[in-house]
Amino acid sequence: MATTFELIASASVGAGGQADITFSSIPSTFTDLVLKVSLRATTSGIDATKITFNSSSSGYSYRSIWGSGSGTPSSFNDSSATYFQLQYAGGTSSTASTFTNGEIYIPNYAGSTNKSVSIDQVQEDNATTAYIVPMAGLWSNTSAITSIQIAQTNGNLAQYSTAYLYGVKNA
Amino acid sequence: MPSTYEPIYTTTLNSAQADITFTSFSGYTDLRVVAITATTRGSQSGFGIQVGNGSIDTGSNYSVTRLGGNGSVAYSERTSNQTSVAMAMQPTRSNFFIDFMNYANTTTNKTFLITDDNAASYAIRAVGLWRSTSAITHLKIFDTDGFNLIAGSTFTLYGIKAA
Amino acid sequence: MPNPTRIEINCETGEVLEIELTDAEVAEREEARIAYEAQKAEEATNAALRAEQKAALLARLGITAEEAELLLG
Repeated sequence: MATTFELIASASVGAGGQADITFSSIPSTFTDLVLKVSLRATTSGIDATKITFNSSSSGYSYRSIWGSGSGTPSSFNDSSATYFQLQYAGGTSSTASTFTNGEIYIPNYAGSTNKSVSIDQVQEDNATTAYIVPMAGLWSNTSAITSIQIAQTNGNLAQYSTAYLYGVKNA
Repeated sequence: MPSTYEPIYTTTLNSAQADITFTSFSGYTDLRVVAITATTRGSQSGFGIQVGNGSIDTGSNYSVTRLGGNGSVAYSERTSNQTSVAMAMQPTRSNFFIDFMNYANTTTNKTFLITDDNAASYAIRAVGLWRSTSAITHLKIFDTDGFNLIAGSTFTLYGIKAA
Repeated sequence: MPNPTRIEINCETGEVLEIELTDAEVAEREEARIAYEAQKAEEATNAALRAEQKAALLARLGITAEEAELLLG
């Protein structure tokens, strides 16, 4: 039987950091994609991570729930975003050796409909600020996803950041 | 080597249906449902989940706690002693993921995690509970408000083995 | 006009049954729909009433909603 959940490609950031991670030439032979990331930024403070498809900077929209461990949870939306934002990767002032984790699930990524995306992301470093941000996203583009870009907004991805792209087959 | 993560069944609805029920999916440790669906109703309806052993349990044996955000307001709510676990469903397609851990055990009540995402409406995460220590052998997804699941909806049931 | 149908999938055999709902099942779904509509209408009424009561209380106290949140936070 064909493998249902298969690693397509992986990336790990070395010493010195990296501007971005790009998975390109993603085969269209799977049903869904699952991107799992563990990220830290080279900025001093926390820094938002940008996820884009096919190097496109348009067509992104989302609604999210935001919890920081204190106060009332919030909810945000953006109907004309230029990327999906993972919030946030800790920077150099965050507790050492702690990384933001996220999972991005893209059903029917190679189909000819707009691409709905489900994101779960957490950042906890036993300090004063932490985030948990589930997100419902939509990339309004009927093209098949053939590449995924992961980049920080202001700095670089720090050493030991990792990204794993999996393909899921439903048959 | 046995496969850890297997598609048990996948289907695309050729026509609108009142509900879809999966049976006979033994032999795994956990289950995952990936459903991309919408309601035939012109406005928000309910995405219902029922399970059972031997047949679907329609008794008041379900409860759910939800955390959601519509882009402006975050909320949390809980309902208990319900006849199903109900999420929200829109006339436009949403992503639904339902994860049943240890679904076949006969010692614990059955907890399952639910994602309900529609970028035009909300992001919702929930935990459902079926108060029964019986193994789950039947799983039903339906529109709780008497409408249908749209034609073109896709449902895939995956089985995950721990060994 | 035929009743709506439901799908039953036996994952072991791959058998897929498309089954027409009985009249009783149709009636049960209609009852569920009516009950849901009534519940939503009641929730909307309650929410509107609470909003009205809140506005009246804030006006009586002479404070804004943000100030109330500050006091209660």
